[in-house]
Amino acid sequence: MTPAAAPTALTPLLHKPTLLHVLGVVGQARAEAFLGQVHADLGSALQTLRATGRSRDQQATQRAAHSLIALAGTFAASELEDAARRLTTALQAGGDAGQDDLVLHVGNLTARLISELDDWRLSAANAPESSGQ
Amino acid sequence: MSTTPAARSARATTILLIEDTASLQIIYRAILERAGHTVHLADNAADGLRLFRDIEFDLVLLDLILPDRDGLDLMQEMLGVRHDSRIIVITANGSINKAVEAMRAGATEFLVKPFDEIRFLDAVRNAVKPGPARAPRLRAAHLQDRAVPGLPMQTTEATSGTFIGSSDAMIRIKSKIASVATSMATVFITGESGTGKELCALAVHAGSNRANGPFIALNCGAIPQDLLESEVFGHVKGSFTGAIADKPGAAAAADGGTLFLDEICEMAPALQTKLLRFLQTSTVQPVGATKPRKVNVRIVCATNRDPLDAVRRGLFREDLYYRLFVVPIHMPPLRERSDDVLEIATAALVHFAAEEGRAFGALDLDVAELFRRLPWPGNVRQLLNVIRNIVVLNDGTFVTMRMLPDDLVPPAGKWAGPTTVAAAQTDDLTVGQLVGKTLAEIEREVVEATLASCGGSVPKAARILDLAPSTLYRKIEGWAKT
Repeated sequence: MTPAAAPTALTPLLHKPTLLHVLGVVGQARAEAFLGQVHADLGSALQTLRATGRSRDQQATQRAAHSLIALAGTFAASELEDAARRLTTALQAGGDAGQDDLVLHVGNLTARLISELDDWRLSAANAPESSGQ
Repeated sequence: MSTTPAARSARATTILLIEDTASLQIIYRAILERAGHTVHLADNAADGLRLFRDIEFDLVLLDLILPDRDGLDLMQEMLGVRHDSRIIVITANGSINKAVEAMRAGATEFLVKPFDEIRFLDAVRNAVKPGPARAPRLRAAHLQDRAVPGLPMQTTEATSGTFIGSSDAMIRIKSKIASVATSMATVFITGESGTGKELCALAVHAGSNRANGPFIALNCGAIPQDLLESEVFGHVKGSFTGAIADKPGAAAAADGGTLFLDEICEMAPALQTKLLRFLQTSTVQPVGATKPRKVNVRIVCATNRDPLDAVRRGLFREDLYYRLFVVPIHMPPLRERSDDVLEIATAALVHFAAEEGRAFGALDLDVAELFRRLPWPGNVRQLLNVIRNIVVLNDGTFVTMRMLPDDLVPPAGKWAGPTTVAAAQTDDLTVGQLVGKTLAEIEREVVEATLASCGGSVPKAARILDLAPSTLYRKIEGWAKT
């Protein structure tokens, strides 16, 4: 039995200074609701992408990718933003070549961003003298 | 977030925001309300249209991709209801072609997501501003029967005096031009070849109270030095061999208007002395004339060199430099305002297509992506030449990759997008070149280069620089004031 390879550390998608900046723009009073909405929007896009393999709803996938470009860009999650752009380009170009892989990749990155956001929310909530951010 | 100057100066307006992604709605609304605007929200086309019919909005912000209807369709219906509506189209990169269509169909402006709050509020402010400066719609109309604004002299008419470009850099330049145009201050324009220095000079003239006077442009580098004095100050008949008639010279011809001296650093030292005297006394004495003549001229000059470096190297008089370098305006190279590339390219495409009887209306997405990433060493002039070449040699609705000139796209493996371009630009920069600059100057150069490599995206640049975007915004705002 070969030893398991050491897990490769992934560069975080979420840029925390940018997240804090966006929360500053939104305002502390609305921050928690905003983060909940971001979670919901990312989750909705992810659901659409995950369903794509079965339903092949190109328009819904386009809308999800469009939404992800803006959401990821807002948080400087450049890897997801770029992947979503590539997916948009591929969808517009038509043809199936590589689309499934790209949809899967964008979906995985979206799931990672959701997870990072949740982790951050949890740590912010548990931090002493939490400000909600 | 502290309120930005852009936010403070924006006039309060009533805005309809049609955006289906709820979290983006929250951000846009927060930015707009903080700037004092009243915002009504709709998350689909049907609700947006209903609100639009019920309320007369100052501005509509419209996402092009909506769940129930195509945004462009909706915009056309809105313009059918109120033809003078101001509509800013907001779109992610995937729908740039549609955004271009939207501009042609009457949208006031388009913003590509994600955008930062400064650009957002600038676009809102420009869209609701009264007068011709606000109106890409006027620009679009202008395109149909006149030259392309925002382009260097060989393709635009001298009366245009406006730029294409909604990048932060161009917004700052337009703002600076607007603030200095009405003064008599000498404007010194710097920038690489092809960046539109002459157009900038024209804009200064057009915005001044001498706009009805002459605008005389003289390229000091294109005229033989022994003729330059006569060209600038004129001559009287018989003053030298070949002087077969009186000639007033550019300075006298510009009386009551603006004299634009391009490539000023190429002027011979002897003539620099005469120019300095002219600036000090406002009088011209043509070659061979016995009496000087008083003239009322505003000087605008330009160079593609570093003028201070020319002074240090003894090529340009220091006293003349200080006399001329009153209001400096730097025209950024196209690679530092990649967001403007598509606007300029599309405007030129439409214009040249009309001239050549072609059907072109937009760039294919791949071409648009490539254009945004190319370094454009020849700047706007190179971009225009490429567009002209494409239009002359091809036809179609969209410009596709196969229509591009062979020498535009580097061979595979030689070029890999903006990161490589940025790296290539900084390859030339050695530590030795930085010596002599202040830390603040070095910081600014690095930040601006990083911003350029990120296509102007503050969040992306902030991530690379490991700074908070708000820190970067503060720095940019601070530089804009200098």
